[in-house]
Amino acid sequence: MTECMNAEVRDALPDLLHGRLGDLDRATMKAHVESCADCRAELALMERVRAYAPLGPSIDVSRIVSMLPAPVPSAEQQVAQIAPGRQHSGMSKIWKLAAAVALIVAGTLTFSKSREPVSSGSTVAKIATVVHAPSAASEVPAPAVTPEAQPKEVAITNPVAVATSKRVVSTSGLSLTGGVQDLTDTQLEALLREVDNVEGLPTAEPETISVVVDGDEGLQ
Amino acid sequence: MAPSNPGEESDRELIARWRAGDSRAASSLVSRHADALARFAVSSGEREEIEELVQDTFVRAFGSLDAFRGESSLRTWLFTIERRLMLDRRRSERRQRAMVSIEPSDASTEYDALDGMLAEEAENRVIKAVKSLSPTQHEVFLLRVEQGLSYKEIAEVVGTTEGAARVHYHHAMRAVKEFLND
Repeated sequence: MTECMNAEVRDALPDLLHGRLGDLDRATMKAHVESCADCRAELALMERVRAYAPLGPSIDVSRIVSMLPAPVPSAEQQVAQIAPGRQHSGMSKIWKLAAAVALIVAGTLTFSKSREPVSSGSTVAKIATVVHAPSAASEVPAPAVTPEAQPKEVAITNPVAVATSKRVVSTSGLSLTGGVQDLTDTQLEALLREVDNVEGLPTAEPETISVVVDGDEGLQ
Repeated sequence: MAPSNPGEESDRELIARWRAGDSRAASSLVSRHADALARFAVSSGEREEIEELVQDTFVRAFGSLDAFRGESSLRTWLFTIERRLMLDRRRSERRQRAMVSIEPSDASTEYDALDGMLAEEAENRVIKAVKSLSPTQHEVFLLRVEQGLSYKEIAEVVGTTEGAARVHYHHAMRAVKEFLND
């Protein structure tokens, strides 16, 4: 038995035997084998080897399948299964964080309210309330701030004015810690008069500043 | 391995179905490859507990399907696993019985047991020609002729290069022809 000189064809003979060639290659190979005695003999030998090969025992497929391990989900499947849980966990964290922030803010406000010292500021606020709402005990909402009233409020928030109001209050014998509702009508009128007398605006006009830049006319 | 029938699902599709929990896909895969594994085991000289060997191959393969990247066919991968199991089994037997196995002379012994079952002299001669091959040639020759694996697939199974597998095959074919011509 000799050998065909076409090594490529000899390489592919087992593929022809097992039907592993494409249509074009199979047709080419069959044409060659029909015209090549060596390849025909080699192909026939392969068929004999294959035919004489001992057969294995019959295999019980169901028994093998029953012994197989349970499938492990692929990475994508695991992500898909875990994702809803993670999402829920993420939402839960957000809600927990929001609740914590709300609790801290509420606690801080409550604490600061309870520890708020009686200061000139609060007095000023009370005085401002008096200015805008003559009857603090009334349930009527505070009226809109009028242009005439606004400067008074500004004047009162001025430290000088606060000092003055303190002086006024002290001379009037008013308690700084008391509410406006504690004042008598007389005391209230006296307080309002004092407030009206407070000079809220500076008397001096700002001086005109002339800026000269490189000989240009000054800007006013 | 691609399905022989165009309507059949590929191994990759069946694996995906099995991973999704479809046990019928596992049955299809085992049915498709079990006989080839059993035949390969017998051709390689295994005579006992073939079904256990095939079963162990599938159990091990399905247990590590994550490691199967699909670069080779599933059948090639199964052959690789089965071959390792056979080698392990033979090493174990060698240790237990203090006897050397999987030598050319042993291969002859395996086939000698079959000789009586073969009626025709032509068959005997072909079988003897194949059994006369060296272990590597024998393995490559059977994978190529009996199983129809490509050189690349054979290289993966036996752990060599594609070129070396091709050389082993042609040397084996030449040796078989010379044996039959004598």
